[in-house]
Order: sequence, then structure tokens, then C-alpha cells
Amino acid sequence: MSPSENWSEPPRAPELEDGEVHLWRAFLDSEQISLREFEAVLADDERERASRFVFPRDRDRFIRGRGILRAILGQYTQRPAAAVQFVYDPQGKPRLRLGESDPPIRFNLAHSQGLAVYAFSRGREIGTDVEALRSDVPGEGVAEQFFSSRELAEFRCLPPELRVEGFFLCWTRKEAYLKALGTGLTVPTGAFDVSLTPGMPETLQSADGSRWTLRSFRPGDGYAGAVVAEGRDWGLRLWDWTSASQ
Amino acid sequence: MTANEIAHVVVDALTGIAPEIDPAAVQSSINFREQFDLDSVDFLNFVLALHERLGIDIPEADYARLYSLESAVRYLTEKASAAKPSGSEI
Repeated sequence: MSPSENWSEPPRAPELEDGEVHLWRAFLDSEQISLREFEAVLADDERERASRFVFPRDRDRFIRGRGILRAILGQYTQRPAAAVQFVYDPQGKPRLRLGESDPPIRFNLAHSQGLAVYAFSRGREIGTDVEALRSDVPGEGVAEQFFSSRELAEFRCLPPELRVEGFFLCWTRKEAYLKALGTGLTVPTGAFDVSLTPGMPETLQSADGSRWTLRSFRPGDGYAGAVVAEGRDWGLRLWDWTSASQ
Repeated sequence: MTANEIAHVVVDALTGIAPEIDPAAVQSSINFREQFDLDSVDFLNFVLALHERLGIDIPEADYARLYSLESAVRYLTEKASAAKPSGSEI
């Protein structure tokens, strides 16, 4: 897969500024990402979780995915990847256990079919989602159940050739918002609106919509991605872990 | 339907969305997403398959109860019992 045009090789010591959201992507099936190196930095509970996967491919993706998250957080907080510690909020959203001198890093991650995306901000609540575009989703039936009435009307106006992409633009945008909220499914997916027509600007309309900004991005060929973060005054920087590891 | 029959439907729905899964390998009390690399769309297809096969409406707020085989069987058995007509016995 050729990289999308905006994903760059990261600097050795990336700095996360207040007005930035950093996205990193990693292809978790890449042989260039050392499995042994990342297995060594996992905590005991993460190794135990890795051991629960039935298939070696799934286990390896988890190890690489978690190891890369630790490595990136270690770069931002200037500590070894193995020294990064997580805490979990009541809904299960992981957060970084911060020391007094650490920057207030927030993060969120998503993966789909071997592609992981990590989102980082400085103090802003943040959520991201990535999905492989696939045609085995019964689009109209799912849309009727999960989309708002406005989204459903927009979806029905799409020509057949844009429906798969439109579906996943909507899905990733909604998931990113729910993950930023961190409240699980206590907010029904039909209770807020996102735009979904390919090529049109991404919008989010919700009861607290002024709190957030939604951006879509291209994680790679055949994938859709979205990120939602607090505030209006931030820009995106896209880093490619896989190119950094070569 | 008995709990055993519902368990078969749940495993069948799971292997329907991920055919590589060996039904015998599914561990009852462990979250499906900790055993198999399922994404949110896989999970959505799983929920829709359960709805189609069992005819049970599953509100979004209850999705967390479908995360493991044990929990899903308990939840779906409750829903199936609640939906069954109570008819009087002679």
C-alpha cells in the first residue's frame, strides 16, 4: 500500500504543542516492526491480554499496537516505553498516568484490519476511529438503525458507487465523537449528526457541538479515518510510524 | 429456546462474521474482542446476525452485555423469556 501523501516520517523527538493534534499510523502486520522488541516493553497485564488471543496474527497485532503506543508516549513524556503507565476510567478508556512534571497528554487509538491510528493532544479530550472500507455491511439496514434521520436522508441521496465510502465516513466520524466523549454507548448514535457525503466538508452537530472539532483523514488506501478533539484552535500533523521504523 | 440453543446461535453468529474462528475455541467468560481481533463493524454485524436469527430487538445501550459468550447467552435468554407469550396452562 502506498502511503497517503500527508503522512510524514516523524522527527526523533517529536514535540506536541498546545495547538496541535498528532496522528500516527502504523501497519501492524509489517515485518519491519520488531515483535520481540515490543513484547519486552509490555506490562504483565498486557502480556496476559496478548496471550488470550486465539490466533497468532491477532496476538501479534495487539503486541505491536500496544508496544508502539508505549513507544510514542515514551517519546512525548521522555521515558522508556516500559515505564509508561496506564489508568482506565470507568468506561474503560485508557489514560496516561502522569507525573507532576509531565505534559498533560491525552490519547486515543483505533485499529482496523492491521492498520492502527493513534491520536494525541495536549490536554484536549480526543477520540479517533479508523475502518477498512468493506462492502459486507448491509448499509441501508444499518443506517436505519444507527444513523440520525438527517444522516439517513443524506445517505439515501448517495449514488450506489459512493455508498460504501459514505457509510464509513459517517461511521468513523460518529465513533470518533463517542470515543472523545468517553461515555461509551450512553449517547445513542442517532442523537447527533455528522456529514457523510464523500468530498464534502466534515461537520458535527450535537448538543455540545461547539466544544468539539471533527476532522476526517485518509489513513491509507481503502481506509476511512476521523478524529474529534476539544476546541477549534488546533491543526493536524500526521506521522508514519512504519516509515520511521525502516 | 434454551440457553444451550441460544449459545449455539451466538457462536454461529460469531463464526458467521469471522469464519476462521473454531467454535470449540471460544472461551465463555472472556470478552470476544480479547480473544479475536474484531473491529466495531465486525461487532455490528454480529449484533445484526443475532437480531435476525433470534428475532430479538437489542437496543444500543445493551450492547455491552453481548461482549462475551456467557454474558450474551444470559442477556438473550432473559430477552427471549420476556418476549415469550405467557399463555395459560390447562
